[in-house]
Amino acid sequence: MRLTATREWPLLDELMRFQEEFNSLFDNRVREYPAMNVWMSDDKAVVDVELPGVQPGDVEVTVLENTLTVSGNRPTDGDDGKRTWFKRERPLGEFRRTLELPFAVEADKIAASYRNGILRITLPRAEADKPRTVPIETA
Amino acid sequence: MATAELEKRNQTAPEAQAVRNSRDALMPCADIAGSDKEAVILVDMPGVDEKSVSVILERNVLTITGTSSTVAPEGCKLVMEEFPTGEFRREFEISDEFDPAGIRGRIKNGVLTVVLPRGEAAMPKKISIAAN
Repeated sequence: MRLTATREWPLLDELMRFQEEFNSLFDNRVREYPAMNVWMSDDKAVVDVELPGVQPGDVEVTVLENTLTVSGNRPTDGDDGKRTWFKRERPLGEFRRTLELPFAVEADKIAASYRNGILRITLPRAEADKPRTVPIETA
Repeated sequence: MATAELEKRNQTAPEAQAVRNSRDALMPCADIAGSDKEAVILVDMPGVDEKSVSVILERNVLTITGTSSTVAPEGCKLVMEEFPTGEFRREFEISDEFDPAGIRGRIKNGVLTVVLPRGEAAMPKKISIAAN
């Protein structure tokens, strides 16, 4: 069967991918799975977790003080044993990641939503942890 | 190409993720499986929905594109970026053993599945043997 990745510059793209993967072998920065993007403001943190193809029920999100843990399993879809795999690049299987936030989180107000393969977790900063302006009295 | 494909398969560990390609679009991770009846391409396109994905077959090249609709939360600053978002693009060369009219695609939870049925001519056939 001839079914290979191609482009206008097919070799260049394949080489760029290969180079990226090759470099990562010698990179101290280990790529963790699943990948996360984190946004921060004064009163909250928003964490996007890259989890395409995962059922929301298969993901567990836990928070303890300022530590967020995301764990679960990304199943091997369509693997009925009758297929031959020609290419396998997508990360699959069990995962567990922990992220330490710079502030304590209001556990009751954490919100999580899953849309188009991205899990977004909104973590509001705990009221008690927020900076307070101390009023200064004039003498 | 066969050797390059094999090397690439061996290289791809669970930490595989989309990389920028020569046209500055993201080259998404893909799995390709085949059986007697069809081939299946699975492409990770997180943040992409059915409205922003497109699969175009032109001659023997199947082009998959899609744009992530993920928006940055208001009033926040990006402090850690492990996965890039934006436009995905990847092309696959399809041999003529597949039936172009039968190709169908579906996107769910950020995974695009493209099924390519083999044409009648490429299907395995049982040859009946007559006695005498």
